[in-house]
Amino acid sequence: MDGQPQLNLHVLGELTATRDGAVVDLGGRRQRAVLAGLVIHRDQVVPADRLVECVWGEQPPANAPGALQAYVSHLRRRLEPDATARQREGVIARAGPGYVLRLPPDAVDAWTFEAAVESAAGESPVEAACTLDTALKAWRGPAYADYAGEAWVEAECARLTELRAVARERLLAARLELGEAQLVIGDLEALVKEDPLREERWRLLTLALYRAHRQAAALEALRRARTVLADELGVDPGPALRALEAEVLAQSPDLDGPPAARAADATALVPRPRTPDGIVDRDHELTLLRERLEDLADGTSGCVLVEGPAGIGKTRLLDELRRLAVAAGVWVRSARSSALEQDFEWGVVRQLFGAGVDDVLGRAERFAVLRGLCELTTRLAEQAPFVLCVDDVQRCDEASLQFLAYLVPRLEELPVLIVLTMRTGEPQHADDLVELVADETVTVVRPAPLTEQGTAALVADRLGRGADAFVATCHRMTSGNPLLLRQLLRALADQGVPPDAAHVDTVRAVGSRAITSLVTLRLRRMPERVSIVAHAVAVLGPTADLRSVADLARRPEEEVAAALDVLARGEILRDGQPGQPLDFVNPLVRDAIHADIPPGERALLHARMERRLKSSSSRPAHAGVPTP
Amino acid sequence: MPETMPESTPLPAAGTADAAALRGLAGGAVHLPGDPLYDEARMPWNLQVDEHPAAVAYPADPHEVARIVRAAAESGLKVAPQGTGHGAPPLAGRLGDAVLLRTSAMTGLRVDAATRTARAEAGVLWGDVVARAARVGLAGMHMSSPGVGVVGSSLGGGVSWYSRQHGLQCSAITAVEVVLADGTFVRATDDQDPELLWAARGGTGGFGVVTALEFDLLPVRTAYAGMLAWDWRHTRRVLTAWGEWTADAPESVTSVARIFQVPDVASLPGQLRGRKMVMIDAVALGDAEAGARSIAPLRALRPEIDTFAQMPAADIAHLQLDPQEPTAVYANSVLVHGFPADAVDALVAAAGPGSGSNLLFVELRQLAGALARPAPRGGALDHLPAAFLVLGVGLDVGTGWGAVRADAMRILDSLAPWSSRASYLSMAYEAAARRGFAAAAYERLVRIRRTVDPDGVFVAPQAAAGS
Repeated sequence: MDGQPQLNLHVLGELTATRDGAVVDLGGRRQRAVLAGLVIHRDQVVPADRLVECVWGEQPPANAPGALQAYVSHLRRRLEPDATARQREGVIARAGPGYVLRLPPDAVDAWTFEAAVESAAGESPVEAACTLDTALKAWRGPAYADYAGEAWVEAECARLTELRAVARERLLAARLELGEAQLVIGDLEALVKEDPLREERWRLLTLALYRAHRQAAALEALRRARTVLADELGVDPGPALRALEAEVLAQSPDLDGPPAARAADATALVPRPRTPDGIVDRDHELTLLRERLEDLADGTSGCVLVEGPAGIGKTRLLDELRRLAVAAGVWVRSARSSALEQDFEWGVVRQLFGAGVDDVLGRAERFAVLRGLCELTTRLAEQAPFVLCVDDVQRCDEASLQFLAYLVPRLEELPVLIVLTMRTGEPQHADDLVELVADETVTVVRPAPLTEQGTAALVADRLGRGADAFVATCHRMTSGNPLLLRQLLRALADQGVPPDAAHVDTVRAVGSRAITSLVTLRLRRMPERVSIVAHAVAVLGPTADLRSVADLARRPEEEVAAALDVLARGEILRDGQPGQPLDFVNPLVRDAIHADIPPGERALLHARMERRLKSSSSRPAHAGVPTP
Repeated sequence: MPETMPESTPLPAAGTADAAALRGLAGGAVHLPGDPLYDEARMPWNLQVDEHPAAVAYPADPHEVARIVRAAAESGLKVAPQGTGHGAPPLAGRLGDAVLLRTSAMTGLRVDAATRTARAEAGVLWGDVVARAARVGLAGMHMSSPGVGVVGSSLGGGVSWYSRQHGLQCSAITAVEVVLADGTFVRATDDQDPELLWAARGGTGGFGVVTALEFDLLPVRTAYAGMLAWDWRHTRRVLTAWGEWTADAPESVTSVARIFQVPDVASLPGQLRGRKMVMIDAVALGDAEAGARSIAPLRALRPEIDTFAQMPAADIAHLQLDPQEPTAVYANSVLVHGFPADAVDALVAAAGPGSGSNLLFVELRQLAGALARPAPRGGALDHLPAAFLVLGVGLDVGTGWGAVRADAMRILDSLAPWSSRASYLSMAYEAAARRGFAAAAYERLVRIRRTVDPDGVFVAPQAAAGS
């Protein structure tokens, strides 16, 4: 279709549109909001009621659907003035229950920007600098500036803002690789000032100063970074900064390699995802789980019970199993029992099977329910083999436990692998649990305390290679309990304690504390915006997610997300997969943090929690409110 | 529940029952006799000391310290603060009714490049300060071993590699944070509670639990430093020449001469291992050229090993190869006015070839310079009135601690004609506390202690004030 006018939308600033370069009048604020709502969702269909929300928020007028149609129709006329009314579905098309935007990828500045940043990551420094420089010029103000602060644009604004921050960093990184060290120092200083918590900026600034032959200033920059991170977040610099520091002090030749030789390295500047912590001393257990997964693929059922004291690493084994299963393309259904939900009938079964199980659970007789659940399991297994995980089964609700006890002896040739974890040292009253554990088809795995070699490996991972006396003391103080060891090492890392023989008594001092007080002490040393997030997670219990935490803590979601990251990095929260509910590294830690919330703050959080529950009936499965 | 105790119930042993009130304090970091980690927790760095205190506690901040101190006092127990336990020997035999309050959990450290100061909590080691300060081109007046605690060594005076130019480390203290016997917390400075600050400057402690110190750092990035070593058959020749050299050495240079019977352990350099040597370690502030000029007369003695070089300040903390892991050692020392040829002969006869001494090393630390002049800021210990500190250190080589002590006492006795009346208490564990201070300073220390700790809750580390 030659000669078709070129339509461009701009959202990196106020929302505007141009047709062949001429500005298009998009009408009033509400009308433009419809277009903005469509741009945010790119090529996805946006339901009409979602657009209504964009335009009017929570309280739309009675005639909202009609008004929306009018806005769409006006927009179409402005965007495609040459077409007849019937033809005007080229840009804003009706689709199912809503509308969808039909525009080429280069028609919207935000889309082009995103593509440019992505492509720059694979380019040589010369090309990347050019690409990023051009891309950044598209910004005329904050994204979706007309709707700043409105809930429906918030997430997208945050995403674009972050992308812009990364782009600016990478542009300067590319210029640094091109030998422009002296020229970029000023820009990097400005970036650091804007957001002193972004470590990449400090890294680039230090590198630039060093390459500009200003070693003292480079070290000073690292010192400032350390201070800011310690004061603001209560954390030490990450590995990249620490490594750079060592290299600067050692005047490593790696720091000033010839620009030409580094051209291919631009992608190395992309922040790499953190690798999960190594599991040590669990070869036997992991081999067994791997074998069971292989058996499952061959259609053989199995049931494994991982049993041990708090902190021995049962949940970590379960996490690893999930990872292996997902990698092998096997479905995993997971549930985590908690004291809060123990009185909630079928809580664990609901977690395992989701809402689809409601019909079965509605049957009048317990036996009928059990049989129904068994049939459901059979049906699912016939479709594809799957793994069924229940963590902390000693806290499972009685009805779900009965189901598990009923199911295990009936697995026979069903391709289902059941993996349970059970904490020892807690009173177990349920007969079904006793029966389940005693079933001869159940393989019981009891992870042993870490060996001294395993301890040494974790010390090396966290603090660097440890002196023998240091490692031996870590081992004795923790009795080989991995959770305690991790918390000990984390606390030592927080304080910058080197793993040498001179610091043996520091290990004793920190390792003497109860694990719970170790965590609460560390949390108390973190800034308030981090600790309140941990408190909110503790109060919410199993219902905690980003939104509910932000809601309870009354903090913006970005801030909460940053705090959650600090807590996960600090091993206070589990470093879960996206989509998994937030959870502490151990229930003991959750209880300790809950108990350590100052009384006033706790009352406030609980009051908000109850209001939240009253106003939403969306999660009847989690009615339990922890008592203060 | 019966109203009265059955007759068969044994009465609780003194101490242990009382300490039960401490259980659960300090986040659970309290160990009582019989607890699984009690033996681990009660061991100081110097393993020669084998005390069984009523409890061992590791509080992590002044609030926890205060709760421990109050609970101990209410239970009729004393409190003995201890960091690494390098200076543990004077506590021996005095902890049966005491809570050993170990400060190692208080690891907070701040270095301020702009004001050239540091704030170190009581669990910070000199190695930590040195490493942190070096990042911003500063140095602390650290001891010869990086594993020694900052607070304990500073309270006791602190003879450093930089002391002949800059005086005792305790004179660099600008503020002290302390939890007193009644559990109150005080930050003493020249303006606020100056008496406590005065006592902290070299008074060896004993007036409270010092939880942190603030002190000045030095703008030192590098120094010319190293070691010269000879086989110990050259001991007399080397020590005589060194003694003469020290008389004219500039204050920028601090040196230590040693007779070292080097153990055969893997952590030490191969060329030294298992040998008997005479050595001179020195640090010269300034550039390499001036440093080399200063030590030229020592080099003229043709050492077998010469490691001198311009080195980063952070490396100087590791110059002396002291063991870092807990070790059982005996140490004693004497201050001497001079080290003339007669004194060299006496010392060689007591500790040199043919003496039969099994001491690990005998060390002569060069003092004088700024160390001999009263520090402008004053303090309980504001100078050391001597030219050298002679220190004997021994390990138990199978002959028992009595023999080790006898070897050390032979050195002290051999140098009696040149010895000072004063003692440097941080390294003279058997000396009477009174000998560590000028008479007026000692009386003032006793007064201060009686004022802030009238009931004698604290076990003084050196029995400095009246116990």
